[in-house]
Amino acid sequence: MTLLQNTQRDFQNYLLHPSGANPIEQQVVSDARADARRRLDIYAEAYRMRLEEALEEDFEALHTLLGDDQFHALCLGYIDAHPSQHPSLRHFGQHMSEFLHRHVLYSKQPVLAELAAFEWAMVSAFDAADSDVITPDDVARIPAGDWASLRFAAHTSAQRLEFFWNAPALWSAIRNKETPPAPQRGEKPQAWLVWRQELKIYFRPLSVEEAWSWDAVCAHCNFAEVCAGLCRLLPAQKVPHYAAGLLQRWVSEGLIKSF
Amino acid sequence: MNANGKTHPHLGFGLGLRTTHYQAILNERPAIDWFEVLSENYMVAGGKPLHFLDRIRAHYPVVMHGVSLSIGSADPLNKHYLRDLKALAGRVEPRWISDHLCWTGVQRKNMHDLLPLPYTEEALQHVVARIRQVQDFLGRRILIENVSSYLTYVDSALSEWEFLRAVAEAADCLLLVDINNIYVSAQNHQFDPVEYINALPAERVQQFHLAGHSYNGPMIIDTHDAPVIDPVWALYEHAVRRFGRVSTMIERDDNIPELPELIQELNHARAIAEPLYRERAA
Repeated sequence: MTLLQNTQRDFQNYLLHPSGANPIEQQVVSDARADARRRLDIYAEAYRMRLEEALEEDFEALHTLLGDDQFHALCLGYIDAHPSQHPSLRHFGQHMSEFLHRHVLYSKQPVLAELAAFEWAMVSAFDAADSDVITPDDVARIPAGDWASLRFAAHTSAQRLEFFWNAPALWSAIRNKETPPAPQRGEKPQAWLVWRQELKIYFRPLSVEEAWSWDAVCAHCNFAEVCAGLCRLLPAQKVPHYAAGLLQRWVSEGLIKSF
Repeated sequence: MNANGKTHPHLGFGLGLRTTHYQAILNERPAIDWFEVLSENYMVAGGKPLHFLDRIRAHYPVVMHGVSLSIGSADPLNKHYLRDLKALAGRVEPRWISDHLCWTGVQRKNMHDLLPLPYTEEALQHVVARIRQVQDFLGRRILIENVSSYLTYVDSALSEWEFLRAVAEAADCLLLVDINNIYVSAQNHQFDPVEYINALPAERVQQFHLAGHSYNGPMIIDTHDAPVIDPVWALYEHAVRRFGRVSTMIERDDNIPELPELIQELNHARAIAEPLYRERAA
């Protein structure tokens, strides 16, 4: 290992674990203004502060729900557990939901992991790839004979989520600066869709039938297969009308990029 | 090179592009000569960042400024990062691309900070080779910026300005001189900032950064959250006398005011620099 490698490894170890003894202290000049440790600590403090600011920006509702002190403690734990490995801070919070889910204390409040997953889905939708979307006119031009074999592709920003808890309701209340409702667990998980239409982020709950249909479309089932599957959930005579209505809604919401 | 001896044209007086100003820039088209964008903020697939960048780029010259090239890291260069940087440059067509004389992490971690290098022969050879590699890959010369620092290494054999000059000459790269960073490091390490400026190779200086800073006990921290202070303006004046017409911009990353306040600060830079340009031309 070269001298440069040693120095950088020791310096980085100091930033990651500032409390332990570290040979980097012997490598840094001390003077009357500040000793080596004080100089290193400026970097160690800035490291945590910068990452915490990134998490504050991405998990605004989680921050509000936990309060400053608990969120700060959460951030310190997360920063230690998941050092950034990406050139952009944009990706730093990607493990937050999983971290909360697996954490010995935070896992006792499962709404936290779900709220983090919801907020992260919006971060992901924010800068997901742009794509043209199909319009009601495009759909109107599809020849009747082609419908059965048609496959649709979802907009790149669309994310399908499932929550047992009322995480989106908590998020909305916090966003609107209202008192958030008490965390509440449903009997079954509720399906949600988060996506971006032009520059705006949208989200809404999905019925069991719509969630099934969306998943089938995303699994590249064609329209006939989606309708056949829906026959297990709805009376067969209602399926064509229901499936056509779903497609119309998805198209109007900018959820379908091609067929 | 142009008549001024610079490789790139003088863009005038610019600002760092910040999200809070997107709409005002498009609505009002303020009298700002150019914008500097943080490369990493736009190395994304789509959405708002690229939407606004494309539109602002249509009306203003843009330069790209990165924080994660990690040119001094002992890790291999991140090829994915370089590929994304080149792709963004293909889209933005920036007048130039810059990053910092620093390292940001090793062992595939990123500390998201501009960490100082030891100014040793080993580090010099390492950085020079990597700048050459990056320039070959991008097909253009890059600008390297001096960083603020809060520590120096026992092993450093060169001063920062000797190191920076040697890097620029051996790698044949250009320089982005951050006047505030020179001031901050001069205070933290007790050197003469004028000596620093006088030592830099004038023909390689293509851009200036100006910014504010804050205090942490006896140390000055480069926080970019306040207006430029008078001693930094004085140093800027000295730099303009020494380097001539150099594209100048104000960096504000925190406590970001409305555009008119930043434009006023930018006009202060103009008021200092333009009489000196005329003086040099006379």
